[in-house]
Amino acid sequence: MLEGKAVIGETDMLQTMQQDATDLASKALDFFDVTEAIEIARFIKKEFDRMHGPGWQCM
Amino acid sequence: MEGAQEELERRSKFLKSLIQKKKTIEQQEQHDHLQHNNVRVRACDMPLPLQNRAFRCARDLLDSMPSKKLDSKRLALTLKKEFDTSYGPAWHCIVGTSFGSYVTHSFGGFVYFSIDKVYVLLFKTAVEPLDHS
Repeated sequence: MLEGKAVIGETDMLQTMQQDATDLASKALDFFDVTEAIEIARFIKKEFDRMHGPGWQCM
Repeated sequence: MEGAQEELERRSKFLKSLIQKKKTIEQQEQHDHLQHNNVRVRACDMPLPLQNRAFRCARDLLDSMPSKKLDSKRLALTLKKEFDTSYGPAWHCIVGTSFGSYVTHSFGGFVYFSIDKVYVLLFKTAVEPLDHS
């Protein structure tokens, strides 16, 4: 598991979803190299679509 | 009768060649326009007029900014507002020099291009009306 604390810049999201987002980001960085930005974005977007319904975007 | 058929075919071929020529000229003009404005289309699902509007808007704004000082937020805001106003909600715009993305977009509402050293992602999503029941 990646060490280091996620810092939330701005948010309009339930606390539980924020936690999901940071957990998924951490997981994505375990799976992919930090330079594989598109793969990381794809992973987080797909997981959020699955967990919280379709229509999520990730950059 | 055969003469009339031949005449029709001849005219049809002539019209086809005219259309083809027009298409070629348009593509060449588009290519020259992109070269001139230092634009490179990276990925696209958008009609040409909308693309050109995005390029022109981005180019004008970048030219109005002091060199060496990119205001990416302002560029994103301007493009988003411009497209929301002209083509309806909801457009999203991301501007930067280094980012990855994965998005779901409406049909015919996606363009990813670079202009100078700036990358621009502009896309549209469907808006669901709020349920006030």
